[in-house]
Amino acid sequence: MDWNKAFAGEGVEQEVGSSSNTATARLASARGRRPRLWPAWLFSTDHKIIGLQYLGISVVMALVGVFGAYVLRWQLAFPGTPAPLYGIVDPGPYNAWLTMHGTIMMFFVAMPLLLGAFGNYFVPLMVGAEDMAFPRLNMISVWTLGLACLVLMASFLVAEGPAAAGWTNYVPLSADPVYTGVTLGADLWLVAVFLDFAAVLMSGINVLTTALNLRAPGLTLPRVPLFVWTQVIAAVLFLFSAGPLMGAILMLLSDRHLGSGFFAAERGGSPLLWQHLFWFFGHPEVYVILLPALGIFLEIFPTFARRPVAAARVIVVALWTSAALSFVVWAHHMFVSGMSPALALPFSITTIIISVPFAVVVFALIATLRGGMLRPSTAMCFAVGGLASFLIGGVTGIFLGAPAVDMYLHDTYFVVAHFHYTLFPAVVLGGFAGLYYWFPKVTGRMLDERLGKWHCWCTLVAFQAVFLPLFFLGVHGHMRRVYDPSYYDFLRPGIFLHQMATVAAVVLVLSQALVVWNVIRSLRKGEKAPSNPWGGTTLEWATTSPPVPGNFSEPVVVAHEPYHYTDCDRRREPVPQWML
Amino acid sequence: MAGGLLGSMDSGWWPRGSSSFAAEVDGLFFLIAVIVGAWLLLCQAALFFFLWQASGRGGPGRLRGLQIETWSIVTLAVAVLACDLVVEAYGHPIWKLIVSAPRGNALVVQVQARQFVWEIRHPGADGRLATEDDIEVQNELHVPVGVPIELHLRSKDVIHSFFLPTVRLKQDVLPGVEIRRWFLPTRVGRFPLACAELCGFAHYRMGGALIVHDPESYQRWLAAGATAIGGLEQGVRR
Amino acid sequence: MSTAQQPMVGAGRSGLLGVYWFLGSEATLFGALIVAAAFFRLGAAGWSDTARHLSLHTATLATVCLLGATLGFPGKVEVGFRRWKRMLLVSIGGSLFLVLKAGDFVQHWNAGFRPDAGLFWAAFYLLTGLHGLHVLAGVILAGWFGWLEFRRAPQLPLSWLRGLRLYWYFVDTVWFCLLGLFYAG
Ligand SMILES: [Cu+2]
Ligand SMILES: [Cu+2]
Ligand SMILES: [Cu+2]
Repeated sequence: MDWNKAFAGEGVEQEVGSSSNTATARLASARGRRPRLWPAWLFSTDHKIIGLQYLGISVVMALVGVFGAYVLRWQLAFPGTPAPLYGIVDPGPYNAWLTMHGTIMMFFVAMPLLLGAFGNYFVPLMVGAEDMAFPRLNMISVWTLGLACLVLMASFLVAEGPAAAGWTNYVPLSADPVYTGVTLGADLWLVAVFLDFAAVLMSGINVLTTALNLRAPGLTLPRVPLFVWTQVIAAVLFLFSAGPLMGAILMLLSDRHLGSGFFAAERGGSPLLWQHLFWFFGHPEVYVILLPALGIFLEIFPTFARRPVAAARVIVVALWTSAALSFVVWAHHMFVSGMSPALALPFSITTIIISVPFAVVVFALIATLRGGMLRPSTAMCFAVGGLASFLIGGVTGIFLGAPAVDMYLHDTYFVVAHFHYTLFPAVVLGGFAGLYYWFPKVTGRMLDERLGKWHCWCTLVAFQAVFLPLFFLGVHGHMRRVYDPSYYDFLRPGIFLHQMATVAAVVLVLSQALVVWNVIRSLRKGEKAPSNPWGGTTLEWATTSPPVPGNFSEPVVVAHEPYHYTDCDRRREPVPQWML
Repeated sequence: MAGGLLGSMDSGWWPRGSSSFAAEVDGLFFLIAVIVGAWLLLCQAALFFFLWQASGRGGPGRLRGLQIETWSIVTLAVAVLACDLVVEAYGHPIWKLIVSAPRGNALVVQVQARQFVWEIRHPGADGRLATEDDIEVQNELHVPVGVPIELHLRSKDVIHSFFLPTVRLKQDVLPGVEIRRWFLPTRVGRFPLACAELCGFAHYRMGGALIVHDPESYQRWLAAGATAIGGLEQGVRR
Repeated sequence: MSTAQQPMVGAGRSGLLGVYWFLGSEATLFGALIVAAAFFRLGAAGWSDTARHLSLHTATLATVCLLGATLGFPGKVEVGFRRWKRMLLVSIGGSLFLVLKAGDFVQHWNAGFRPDAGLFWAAFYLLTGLHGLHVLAGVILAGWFGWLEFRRAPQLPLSWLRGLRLYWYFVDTVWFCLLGLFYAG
């Protein structure tokens, strides 16, 4: 790995490198000329610019992932008819699209958005640091991600098309081209995911080191904002769970090209080994995505309810507990996989118990509204809608954690509905909540709140209309990843639900025009944003909007925990962390 | 709401069970539904009540009792844990029942999966597998009602998943190992059989039927199957 | 700006902390592969018979080289004098290890023991190969550091040396696991 070189040498370089960097940037602005845009931008080691690069990558990849979802949904609702903008969907491409949709959304949208964009931009700001601990490693990380994206996209261009074995890439289906007809595409998938993980690992090392070592004076661990905690925990989770899947990818590449038989039953290998390694990674991965989204909610709730987060310390304990538990629940994805049924008991106990720490976080979020003084806003609309939707995703997990019920619901649309009800609120609703909350900080402009409210309501309602019907299909026994449900007599009556979901999905996508328009218009002629438009209490609001190069024009010192508000004369004023 | 839609599906949204343990599974499902439904309602109600209160319509907000708040949260979480344990305690015996060996003398049927066919080998009139009168059928599982059936599941190539929705039975089928599962059909009729694990481009049409016979029709099927096999080798293959 | 951040909790130690995190994730990568191989070893009958094909002599020699290279790192990097010579020792020891391993690979490969010759060989090539790549990275880093020292360019930061030392210890540890897995009958 050539990248250990990059950061083994970072420790001292960083002070030299980044301060000279900011110095030149300031020099440039002092002379009143803009630095030449694109090379400066592309080769930047500034965490803010890198955060925006991550945002750009995740948005571009999201377009591909969403298009995939549209192709899938069209085929499900109107089997065999040509999808507008695409044409007839054949079974092979259908499987490729479902694979790419999952892969892209999990690895190339959710992680780059929540860890890459939000983590990179706001962790240094919220701990009062001038940049990440290893700025150059940060740049290499985003490039590696870009390379991973190119590799993955290249698989659309190769002869047999992209990988088609599902985002879980189960063997033996993915191990031998005779089963799917895909050759190079499957290798590109493996390489792309490996590179993607390397990128996220680098970014995780950065976030962890920054949050631990570069905190501003006075920012003791108990004073660290909850969003930073969720980023730290997500980074730890990824760091200790990615290795097994990266190892499994190496084993699978070796099986495919060197003729080894790690996963081939007839040669002494084990197909279940892939599943164990995949899900050992896969479950923590879900929390890698979920926790930062909860972190965004945990920042927005106190700011707009203008009161402290309820039980903030307990939340941190709960988040760590859920993280620890997430390493011992993986086999709940494998109750019917053919592993020993005796393993179901311990894994279902850990799985069901993991609901407790999440219950703590959810109860605390709800309690954070109690006795608050609400300042209605689009960010809050998304945060509340996100929490309310996430609740549905959370509780439906209990059904799947009970092995006897999971035997029926496993690999049905119930599972699809369940995880979309956890991931969509996290990635999309959490992402939009973060966008509306931090857009003024990033751009120095306010978004249009009226347009924002419309966008929020359209998104929330359309989302429910897409995924609620899928629960009904699931309890009816509708298997997932089925190209043409009309093949089965018992599924045919449910197709109108597919049609409902598809129409709603199109509405959902179209209503995103509202946010695109809002962003474009606000960037040009939005109201100028003050440094602390919402009355936030954490450090990112201490600096200008947008932050100056080097983040803070004068030293920040932290005086107390975040989320403090005065409570007298029926008025709530924020007492930011940097105020004594 | 669901009532109106119910009629449009042959057996309603929740397909009626057709095996001895289907009722237990359904019971567990509805137990969980009641428990998590109650929690869900409680949370949503609290969320929107506090939201309404905080928006100023519920009188002036006061910030009191933050300590009690923390304790209430922890207490409620412990209550969640208790509910979890109830689900676990109720559910585990059902799982054990499903994955245990069948009680009594079971009729053994061998299911061999390959892309994209279920090759199902039934015992003939002698009730034993691997004898002359075995009846091999593609994509159809024929069983007599009221007799425990033991399935011996194998795969020739990739992982498939043997799924009988009305039986509430689903089992992945792996290459290289034989997995045994059982069920006891309680209703005569024709029920769906499907592959529930992505197994290639025609995964979606790796379906078939579970046909549960009453004793007479089972005898007739046995007789027909036997003559067909004796007569023209591939005749019964569909 | 730097002055503003000066009392930060531990900026100077960031590099080493980063190496710790990196090695943590590396440990799970190797850990997963080693555990998988150990399961195969338990499950397969002929493992220790196959292991006899490996030469214990070469393995001992390789171990000596790798450990010898480790001795190149001073116990306290602050007092390490003439560090370029020490770095040279590290990269030479590591290179010798790699040469021995490469010879091993070629010999077994030509004898027909390729990755498709059974799980033992598959795991052998994958794990020792991955480990070898890590040694190679270490050798290159040590050579580079040694070159910088030799040229007496600005004094090599101590944290770089500490990081590399830590990395080398990790590589040693993995090697011992592999010895136990493949060589100990
Ligand atoms: Cu999971
Ligand atoms: Cu199949
Ligand atoms: Cu299938």
